[in-house]
Amino acid sequence: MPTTDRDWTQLRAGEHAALERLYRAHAPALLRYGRGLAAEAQALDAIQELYVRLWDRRERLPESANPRAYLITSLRHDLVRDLRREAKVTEFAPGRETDGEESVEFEIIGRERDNEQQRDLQRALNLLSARERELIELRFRQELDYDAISAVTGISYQSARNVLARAIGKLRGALSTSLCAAVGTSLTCATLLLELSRQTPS
Amino acid sequence: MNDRYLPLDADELAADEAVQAYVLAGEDTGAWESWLARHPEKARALRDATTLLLALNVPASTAEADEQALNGLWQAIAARTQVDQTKCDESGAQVFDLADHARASRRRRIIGWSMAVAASLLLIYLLQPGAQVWITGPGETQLVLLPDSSTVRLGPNSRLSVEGYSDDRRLTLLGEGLFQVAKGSPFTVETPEGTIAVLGTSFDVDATAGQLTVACRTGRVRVTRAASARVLSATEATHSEGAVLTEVRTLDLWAESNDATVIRFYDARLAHVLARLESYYDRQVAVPAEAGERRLDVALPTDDFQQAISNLDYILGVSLDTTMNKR
Repeated sequence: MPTTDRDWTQLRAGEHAALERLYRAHAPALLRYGRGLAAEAQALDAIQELYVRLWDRRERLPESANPRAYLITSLRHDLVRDLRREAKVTEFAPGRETDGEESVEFEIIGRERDNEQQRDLQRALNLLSARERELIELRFRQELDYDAISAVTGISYQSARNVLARAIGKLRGALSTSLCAAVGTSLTCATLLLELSRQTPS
Repeated sequence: MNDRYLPLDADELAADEAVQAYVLAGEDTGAWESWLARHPEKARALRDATTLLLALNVPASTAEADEQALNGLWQAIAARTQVDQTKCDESGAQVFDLADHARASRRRRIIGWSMAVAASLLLIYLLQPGAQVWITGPGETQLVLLPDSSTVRLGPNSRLSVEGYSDDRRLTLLGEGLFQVAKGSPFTVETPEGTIAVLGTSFDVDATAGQLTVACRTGRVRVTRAASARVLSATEATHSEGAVLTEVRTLDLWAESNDATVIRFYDARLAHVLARLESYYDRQVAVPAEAGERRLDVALPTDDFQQAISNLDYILGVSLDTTMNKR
């Protein structure tokens, strides 16, 4: 995740260039996340309003914040509010979830790695509940920690862990065949870490 | 590495932040390898967790189309935030400024009510090369289709002029219009009350009889007038009969329909409602002395005069007196 603590401080001080740096650093992630909640046009509108509001209220922003978490929280709030107005929000159904919190429709839209493994993963993700998909997105794609996920979604730290563990269990079950074939059941963790080092910039 | 991980199965391990940090960022590798050496029975669970975490950890990339959209969006944000700074230096001017939603023009709004307003008389004057004027008289409405698929539903007794509609989409409005703006370059509407700059949304403007009413149908718009400013989301409205805009209100009745045959009023004086009806139907409606200042939120048909009057009769609890206008 980009480090933009200085940008945040400079934004609060009224430096317009810091707003642009925060935009360049986080807008792609916001679009990706927003697209999971709402139509693309609506997500883009909301992102625009979010950054304009960020500028308008710069002097009232918290002194320190995780910019990514702050922006995603704000975007989620705005989109859920708009979707609720349009009655497109799926309210939490008692008995279906265990975290007791509102759930919103969330779709993970895969654009990367258009290969068989990725398609399998996309199919498996579609088996998850909206809340589970959202937490997978926040944890593994947006790289938010559980504290930030809790702040974004309004569910507790422990609930976030529980939901994610449940989602992972579902995914592992759905992917057991294809993933084992793709990654190789004989691989050790050390081998997988080597694989990881080729995928993730240090 | 403590033993709190021993009871955890593969799913629980994968959900643990320390395990995620180990697998996805290589943190504490030595500690984890030592832990595995002490607890070889957990190797399978950790391997399964690792397999899944690696599959999930797909770095997000930004598609070219997204980059274009985001670049366009930044231009809009920059314009709005820098414009706002300029506005801080102005004072006293009556400014009516709606949000600029500039983005890459990858989508066009579907014209929902494209041919609904057909019963109208269109008068087009060529004032000068490249300029066009649409004028509506009493009882007339006009749907104006602009070159980029943006549309304007012009209300009665209104005038819309367009000059040099290309990169800079600029129109001048006197009266009432419902705008549905296709995404693209900045879209500017000038009225006697000020300027509206907007892109990629739909909204109603009623700038008649010295009052302003702005209602946002889709997207968001920002309205500033003198020292007050309001941001409207879809189905929200504000208005002003002086220098101060009212608080934003959500208008359910505005959300019910985008029907071109309905005129909507928000916190409007009855006298104003009846004056607008007179414009639409070319009929005179006497304003009840006791109710002229009463304020209404109401949607009325523009294609059925009797129904409109009947609705008002029901709301007001009176029988309105109507007569045909003399041409």
